[in-house]
Amino acid sequence: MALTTLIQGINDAVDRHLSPADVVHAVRPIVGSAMLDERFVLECAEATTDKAARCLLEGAPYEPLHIEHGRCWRMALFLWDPGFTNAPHQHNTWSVSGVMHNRLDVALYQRDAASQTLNPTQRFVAARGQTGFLVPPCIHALGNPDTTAPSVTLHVFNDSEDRAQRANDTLWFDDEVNPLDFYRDPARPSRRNLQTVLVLLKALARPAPAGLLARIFELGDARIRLEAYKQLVRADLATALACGDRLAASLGPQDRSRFMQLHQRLLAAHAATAPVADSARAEPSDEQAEYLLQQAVARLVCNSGLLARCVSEGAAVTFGDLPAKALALLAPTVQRNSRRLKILASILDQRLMDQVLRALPLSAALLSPEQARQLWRRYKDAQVDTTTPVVAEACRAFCAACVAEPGPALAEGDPVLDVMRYEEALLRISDRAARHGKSAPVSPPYLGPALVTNSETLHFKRAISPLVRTLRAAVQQPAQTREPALAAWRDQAAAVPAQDELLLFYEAWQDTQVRVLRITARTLLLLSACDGRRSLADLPDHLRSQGYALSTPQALAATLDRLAEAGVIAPLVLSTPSVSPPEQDPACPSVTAIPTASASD
Amino acid sequence: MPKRDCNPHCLGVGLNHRHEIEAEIIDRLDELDLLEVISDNILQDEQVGEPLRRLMRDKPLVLHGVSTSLGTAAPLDPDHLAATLQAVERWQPLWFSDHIAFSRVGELDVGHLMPVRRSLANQQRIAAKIRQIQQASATPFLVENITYYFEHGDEEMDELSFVNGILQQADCGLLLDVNNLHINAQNHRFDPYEYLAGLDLGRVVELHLAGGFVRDELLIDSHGHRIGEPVWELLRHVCERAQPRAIIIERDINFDLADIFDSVARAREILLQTEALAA
Repeated sequence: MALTTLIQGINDAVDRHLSPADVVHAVRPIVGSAMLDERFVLECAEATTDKAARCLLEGAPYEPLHIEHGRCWRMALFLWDPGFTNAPHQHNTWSVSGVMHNRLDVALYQRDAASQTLNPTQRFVAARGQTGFLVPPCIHALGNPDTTAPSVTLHVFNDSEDRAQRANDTLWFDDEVNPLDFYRDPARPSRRNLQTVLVLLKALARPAPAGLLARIFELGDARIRLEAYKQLVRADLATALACGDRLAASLGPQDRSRFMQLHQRLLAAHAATAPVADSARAEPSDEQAEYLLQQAVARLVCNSGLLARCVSEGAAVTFGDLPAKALALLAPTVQRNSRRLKILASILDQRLMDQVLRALPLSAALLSPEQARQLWRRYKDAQVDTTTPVVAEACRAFCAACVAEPGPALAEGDPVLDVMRYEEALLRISDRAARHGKSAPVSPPYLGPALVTNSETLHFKRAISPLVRTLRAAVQQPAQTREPALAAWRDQAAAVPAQDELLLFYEAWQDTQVRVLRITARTLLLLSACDGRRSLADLPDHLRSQGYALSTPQALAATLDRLAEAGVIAPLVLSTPSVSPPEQDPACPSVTAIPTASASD
Repeated sequence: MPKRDCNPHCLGVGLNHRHEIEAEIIDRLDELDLLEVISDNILQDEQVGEPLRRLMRDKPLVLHGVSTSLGTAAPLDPDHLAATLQAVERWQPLWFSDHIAFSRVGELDVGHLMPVRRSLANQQRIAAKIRQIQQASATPFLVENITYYFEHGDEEMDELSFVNGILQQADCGLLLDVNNLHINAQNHRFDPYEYLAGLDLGRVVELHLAGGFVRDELLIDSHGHRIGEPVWELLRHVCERAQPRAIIIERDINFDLADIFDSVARAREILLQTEALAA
């Protein structure tokens, strides 16, 4: 995966204005897919080296791996020295992390408000490849449980929208430790990042590009140069020899003598093992080959386009990256079974289409079988190399494809397109809730109201919500009256003028039913400000800064009361905050939780 | 035909639970001796509705999985295994089962039971996984033969040897899907009766019955059509030689209730006639 792909994936998740819990659930799998990918590691190393060069050679300020200023998130690589553990600290913004190398010890704490002490609640070790997340507030301490080798982790951090608040995004409980001190001299974190990428590059199956290692060598201190040189011995002997000479010349007599011994040993070892290492890299184990075979066959039967290509051009071309051992298993399987694999792919495709249409009963009722087939075919034909065998994902992709480009099967602006988006949103929210569960209502040290976990807002081209209600009634009618009811609905829908409608899809934390609420842009902004860290007194200024007329806290409280009544807002818990809370206006009324009323759409 | 002892432990005939016909199952519960529930549908306890809870409490229960993916050339998914074992612990079925197949490879879930290449290494790997499951649960675990529409290019043994080897190495019971056997015999042109003669029938604990359809000369397992006569004949043949503890009729689409409950009755009649079911 490319670094830019991960960045885009995170941006997409952030742009959906999800709750913190939903953002981390959207971001986590992308981080998991990226961080062990060789291309991603190499691009991280390139980007880190570029930034270090700007900082060390041009005096630019220090920057982590990536900062997305407009969307308030950043991504950083952290190097954990053997045995090092940081002090407990509290995150007040969401974050997603993954272990790229070795292991990470994670200790979770709860703060006892009365005694002002931290109580450990859970401790576990995350292995390479594992990802984790935190939804604020979360108190933890992280460390490297390995006392002999370093660990590397990748972190995506949300930054507070309000720059002044960012100092409170992470709060350290050890008064004697201020990790920010480390960043006062930009050269220190920059060089640390070079060390970090060298750890990652060393773990790759093949040597890192010599040019990259040579650049790191140029930027590094003696320690970094030594490691870059060691890796250059594997990557490019000529460059390694040149760098070795320069390194030796820069060392004192004692270090130079030790280095020259190492130099000779590494060169001898490289000469003895390089050919063996090359052949070993090309050949996976039998189990890996079997796994790759299964993966390739699975992709083929899930994607008839890929299968057709594989049958016509041969497995060796379609799966050019597959190691020879796996290809030797796959090629005869495809060759001998092309017809049967096509039948199976076709059956699975039909089954998936049926499942998708069953999951979208209102849309399916409005589409003729021929229209449904055409839309499905168009959607599948556009899927050259992706597979969407999971029904919920297929529903989402199918609806998105139809809405984006319905093709000749549907007229532009056909109400069924709005219905598809509506149904798909319902499905997505309930699926998300089922997969990830719901967070508990907000708890200390939150200061103000917070959105429930699963929510999403969508714009529609026409006032769709009352139409959906009548459509549902029509679909539920007995077979003999159903068709006339659907025809009447079509007439009714055609008469509704195009008019923007903003809907909030959410699952109230008290129950499992997905609900829909018609809201205004101002209410949407109000909801997005309900992140638990703004007190009610902060909200009027926030709305005003976004161009809305000044409201009183009382008026906003009334709106929030109505939202709480609908189950959109979790109850506000006002407690003694543990760390430097913003002042709260004592005159400002609190929002009270009211049990959710009956479902409405 | 060798005379067998009547099996005093046979439970009878049941249905696989489907939400679509839950009300009808409740209405005609007396016609069923047991119920099979897809374990993957009850992994999250809060998603189990009250009617199904009642059914699982009131009827002898067996659980059946479709996504353990025993055949994937990778370790078992620990989260899925833990959730399955939790469901087994919670609902205390008589046994639980899954297929000799792979359905998930990494993040890719095929949504279909795919045939594993029949190699010695895969046979040993699957048997080891079954032993791992058995060691983690006091409830018996069975494996089921699947329908396969293609064979890999480099099969090291036939299906019979593959299945027998797994059963023997794992020392586990067999859920014999009679329809799958019929379909495979048709599609891959072998004699199902010869297959049964070689199969370790002493390990048969449960039988599955279902229907299929023909597509481009291939017989397809649909779980949505009437059970064919050759399948009924095979069932009779199996019941005369094995001592299954239960037969489950599988129907996942086209819920023709008359056909479903007729099939239950016909299967029970065969059990009685062959003395597999205690009178």
